[in-house]
Amino acid sequence: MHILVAVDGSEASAKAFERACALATPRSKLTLLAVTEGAVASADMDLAAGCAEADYFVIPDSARAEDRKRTEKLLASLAHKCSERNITVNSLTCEGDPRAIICDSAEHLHVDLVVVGRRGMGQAARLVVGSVSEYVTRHAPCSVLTVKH
Amino acid sequence: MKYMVAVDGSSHAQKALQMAYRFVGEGDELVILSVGNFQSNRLREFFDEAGVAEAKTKALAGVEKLVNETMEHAQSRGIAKVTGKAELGHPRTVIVELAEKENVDMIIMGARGLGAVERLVIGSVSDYVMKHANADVLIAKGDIPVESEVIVDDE
Repeated sequence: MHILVAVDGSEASAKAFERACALATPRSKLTLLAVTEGAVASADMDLAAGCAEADYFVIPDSARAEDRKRTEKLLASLAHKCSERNITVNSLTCEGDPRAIICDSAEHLHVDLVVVGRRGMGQAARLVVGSVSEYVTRHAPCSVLTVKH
Repeated sequence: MKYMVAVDGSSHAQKALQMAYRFVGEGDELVILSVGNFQSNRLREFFDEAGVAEAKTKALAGVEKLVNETMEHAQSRGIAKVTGKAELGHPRTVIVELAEKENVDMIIMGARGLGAVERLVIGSVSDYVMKHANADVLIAKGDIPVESEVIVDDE
């Protein structure tokens, strides 16, 4: 079974990763997918940050480079955990909208199961337009496991 | 781990069951749940109490039959700890509440059910459970991978 786990350094995705590893068998393959923000991010994605007035905001190159470095470290550490448990693993980084990227990756890589962390159910979470896990559950071409916090 | 599969006789629920079989291992428990969408208040507009009671008995019998058949199927696949729950009520609420009561680790269900509109990517029950359950929720859809056969090397 090919399992894709969306990771972003959050506790929710850490739990998702643990769950994916627990479900993996010696014949499974795990793909770790980290999505970082691109050069131009849509304000839709982060209303909570108070950017509602602009249509978009630009992320400086320096911030993106830092983001990429942090992501690479995260992926390396998670891949290492997989190797320790004898789980076959691939890592992938992409820039852009996580919702679309996770679904497209699931399709192109012929994934059997996508594992994502579920956002907490607090009020603040609801302000962000369209949670990633809800979008992915609806639109992924395969089964989706949402892991609770 | 304790898994719960919600079934309703649909092909989507079959996918959920197939996924469950891929994950349930030795020592794990599997709960088969089916909820008959029975709303006595609506029926009371057309039938008297005796009629409603009769309808309720028939509905429950149907749900129990499905649960028992599914349990037998699971047991024939070698799963040792299988229990069944046949309930009547609002499927989405019963699934969430029962999962909580039974301390289920993961709910597995189809993306849609028997009554769903085809163009919906995800039905209202699955959507509700995904958002409100206190357990991990696996929505089964697409092609379910089959257990791969052992490939013999060609020497």
